[in-house]
Parts: sequence; C-alpha cells; structure tokens
Amino acid sequence: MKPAAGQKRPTSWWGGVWLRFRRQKVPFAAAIVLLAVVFSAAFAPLLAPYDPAKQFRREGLSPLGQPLPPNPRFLLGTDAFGRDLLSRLLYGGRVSLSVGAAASTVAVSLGLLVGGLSGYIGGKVDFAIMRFVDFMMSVPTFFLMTLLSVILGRGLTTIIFVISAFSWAYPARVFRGEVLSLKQRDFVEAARAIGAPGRRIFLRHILPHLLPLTVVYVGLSIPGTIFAEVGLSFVGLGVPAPTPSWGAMIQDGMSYYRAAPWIALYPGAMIVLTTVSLNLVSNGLREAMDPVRRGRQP
Amino acid sequence: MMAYLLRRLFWLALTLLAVSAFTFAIIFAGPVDPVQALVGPRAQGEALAALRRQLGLDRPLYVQYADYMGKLLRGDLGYSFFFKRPVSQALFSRLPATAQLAGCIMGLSLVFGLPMGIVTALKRGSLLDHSMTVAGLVLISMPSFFFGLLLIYFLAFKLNLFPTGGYGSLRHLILPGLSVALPWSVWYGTILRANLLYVLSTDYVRTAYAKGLWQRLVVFRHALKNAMLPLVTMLGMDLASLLTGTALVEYVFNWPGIGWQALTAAQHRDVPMVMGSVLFGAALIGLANLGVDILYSFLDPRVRLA
Repeated sequence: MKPAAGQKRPTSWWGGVWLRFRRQKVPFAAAIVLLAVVFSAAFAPLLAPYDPAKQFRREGLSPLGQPLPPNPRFLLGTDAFGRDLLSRLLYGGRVSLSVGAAASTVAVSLGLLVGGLSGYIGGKVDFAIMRFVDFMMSVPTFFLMTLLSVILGRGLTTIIFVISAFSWAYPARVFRGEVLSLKQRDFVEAARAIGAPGRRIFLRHILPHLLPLTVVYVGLSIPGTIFAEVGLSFVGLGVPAPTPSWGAMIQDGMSYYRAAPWIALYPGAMIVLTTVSLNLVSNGLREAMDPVRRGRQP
Repeated sequence: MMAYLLRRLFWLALTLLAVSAFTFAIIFAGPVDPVQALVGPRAQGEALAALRRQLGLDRPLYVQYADYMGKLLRGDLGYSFFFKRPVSQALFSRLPATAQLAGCIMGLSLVFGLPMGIVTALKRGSLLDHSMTVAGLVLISMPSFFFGLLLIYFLAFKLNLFPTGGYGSLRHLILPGLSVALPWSVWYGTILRANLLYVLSTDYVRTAYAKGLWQRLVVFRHALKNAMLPLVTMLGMDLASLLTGTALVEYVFNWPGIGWQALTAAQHRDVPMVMGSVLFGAALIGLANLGVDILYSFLDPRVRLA
C-alpha cells in the first residue's frame, strides 16, 4: 500500500508506532509532561537548590516554629523541620518513580514468563500455574506487603521486591490469554509443520508478538506500583527517613494540613500528574501499536 | 450445588493453608531473625536469647510449625503485643467498622455510578460525557488516601460539614466512604456506559423501539438489565477487595477497622497482629468471592455452578 502524499514512510515497525503516536495530540503532550517529571527526578542533584535532608532550623521556620509558605528563598516553602520542599519534591520523585518503574518491569516480565509459558505448555502445567495465579489474586495484597516490609526491614530493594511479588498475577493471566490465541494462528502452525522445536517457536514466534502488549502493560501497571510505594511510605513502611519520598512527604504534611496544607499538596499533585500522563501515554501507545483497533471503543 | 459448594470450600481451605504456610515461612524460616524484627535492631545478646526461649523460637522448625498450625486450627492466632489482647478477638471486634465502610462505599459508588453511566450513554459526546471522562482519569490517578486528605481539608476543615475523622455516627462514615466511592463510581459509570451502548445497538432493543415503546421504557425495562450483568461481576470482585483494600483510607480517617488495625500494628512491629490480619483477610476475601458467585447464579439463569 502506498503511503498518503506528504506522509513520511515509516522505516520500521517502531518507526510506524512513533509516527502514529506523534499524531495523537493528548498522549503526545502527556509524554512531554512525563519526560519532564522523569528528568526533574533524574537530575534532582543538579536542580535542587538545597540538600533535601538539611534542616534550616532558623531561616526555614517562622518565629513561632511553623513551616514557611512559598517565598523567594524557599520557592515552594518548607516543612515542619525547616527543610526545603522543592528539593525534597525533586529528590522524592526519584524513589517513587524508580520503585514504580522497577517493580512494574519485574512484575510484568514475570507475568509474561509465567503466563506465557503456562498458556504455551498447556495441560496440567497450565492448570497448576493458573490455580497458583488464582491464589495470588485472592490474597490480601496490601496486608502481605505490609507484613513483608515489617519482616524484611525497610529499603529500596525490599520495597521493589515486595511490590513486584504481588503484582505479577494479573499480567500473567492477560499474557496467558494472548498466547492461547496466538497458538491458534497460522504462522505458529507453519513453524510447527516445518519441525521447529517448541522452545524456538515460543522464543522466536510467540514472544515477539507479546512485546507491544508488554510495553503497554508496564506503562499501565506503573500507576499501581507507584500507589503501592506511596502508600507504604505514607504509613512509614517505605524507604526510611530522611530519604524523601512523595508518600512520606504526604505523611509529613498530614499532621500540618491546617497550618500548612501545601506540604501534602505538592507531592500529591506530582503523583497525580505522573499517573495521569502515564495512563494517557500508555493508552496512546496501545492505539499506536495496534492500528486495527484505532477509533474503536476500548 | 452441594458438590460445588464443597469443592469451593475445599479450595478456600487450601488457600488459607497456603497463606498460613507462607506467612510462617517468611517469619520463622525466612532470612530475617523474627526476634530481632520484633524488638528492633538495637537489642542484642542475652535479652534476645531470653525472648527467643520465652517465645519458643529456640525449638526445631518442624515443632514450631506443628505448634503454629495446631493453634491456628483452634482459632488461636497469637497475642497482639501492641493492642494487648488476643489477635482473633482484636480482628473480630474491628470487623463491623470495616464492613460498614465497605457497605457504604458500595452503596455510594452505585448511587453515583449508575445514573452517570446511563446519562452519559444516552447523551453520548455531550459536555457531560467528556467531563466524566476527564474527571474519571484524574480521580483514578489519585491514591485514595490522598483524595481522602483533600476531602478532609475542604469538606471537613474549610467548610466544616463533616468530622475530620473517627468513628461513631453516619456523619463519620461519609468522607471515608466518598474517598473510595467517587473514583469507583466513575469507573462503574464508564463500564455501564460502554455496556449500555452495546446493548442499545442490539436487535431486541431495535425491536422494542420499532414497536413504538418510549425511550424510557426501552432503556430501563429492556436494556439496563442486560447492561448491568457484567457490572454485578465486577461489584463482587470489588466487594472482596474492599474488605482489606481500604486500609490506607481507614488510616487517614482514623476509622478503627481491620486495615487501620493492621497498619497501626505494622508501625509498632506487632508481627502476630499483622500475620493474623493477613490470614483473616484471606478468609474474608475467599468467603466474599464465594458468596458473590452463588448470588450471581441466582441473578443470571444462564450461569450454572459446576
């Protein structure tokens, strides 16, 4: 098929995805916002005006010892310890974003592997694995995360492990369904007919078809893993203080919400900004990767 | 039906066995010393050894497991260090608060969600339709406890309409209920809208219109019933998750339910209490799922329990 006049011909599959993604105004704008958030967190050491843990006991608090509202010296104000909120906000993003991204990547990859293999192998293995997935989906996830973080102690790796351990079941179910339908397709049949071994069929013919879905699911599941991190930090079970994280900042602000509502408002707003743009970008990507679905109701 | 019930209960028992084995494994056989986790990193030496003897943790692992399972079967979940009472007693005493909150959330999300879904489906592409999409996106992208804090700030503190937290009256229930129910109602509204749009395009609805029936009659009598069915399934799954999933909201509003209790216990390293909450939560979720499946078979005659 000839591309329409004035339209660049996509050079590769990913090139086509990029072209179709760029044409969607809202997801594209959301991608820019998301990039800005990620960059601000990644370059926090360069952007932050102060050390996020430094307590300005004199300049950072009002004469009565109250946190300061936004002012020229502390652009977003200070918290109850006289710490600069802008610096904490920038650094706090590092924890929430990296935990979200890492936990989602681990969880979705695990889901891809477990669900994909379960659907591909089928039979008794599939039955056993799917009962295990059912089991994982019927346990009180947040309670278990709480228990694990109490037992294993607090730290970045623990948090990532704990969250991803309870987030892979749903993706596994989705990928299993995909594999079940892929198995019926002609090209898999053809590969089998020419005698390709099972492992090769799975790795070369089935896995590549799951890649777009994997990317979309990582994006769609990050809000959930960020919520889990933020929630655990909020109740003091996240990365230990004084490392700032958005959840812990909301907790700090909770006791001062009458006098200094901005303390909790900034991190909350950052979380909303991040997850809204993530949802928009992921849905835009899904549309761009699956041109057949375009324009249809989800 | 009886066989189905028995098999489901068997699976539930198996699930609980697995959960209990799992919690036992991470606590007693995991990489971290449970006694150290209990008392914190500062305690050491003789004090640790004494506590270990006192708790019976110096015995072989299989003896401990037998002991643990034996107590579990008798309903003994241990003693809560922080709340100073038996864990099972603490759990049952908090159940009413959590159940009230769950019921309130379900009720409110339907009260808001159903009209939203119907109106946006009938007025597709209208300003209302678009604003629901945007509002839904923002609400779903917000952690419920943060939304709860916003509600406390504006409705309880600024406008003084509701108490900022606590337990007791219907007024205490509204804000924690809303902080989960509003996002959910948008979600239900979106699902109902999609289902309703599909059902309205089917032949039997066209027939109803062709007979000259009023739109109201067609929508409410003919279309809505079928559009609601998938929603009932979702409702069931969500009800199960509500029993343990509102912990953070309970915490923000000081609502003394199971979740608040588990989080408070966790902050004080009260391991038996958190462990008990996990098991209790798993049992509640299992029973709720079972109940919903049975209810569903009555609502939809096409569903056969097998």
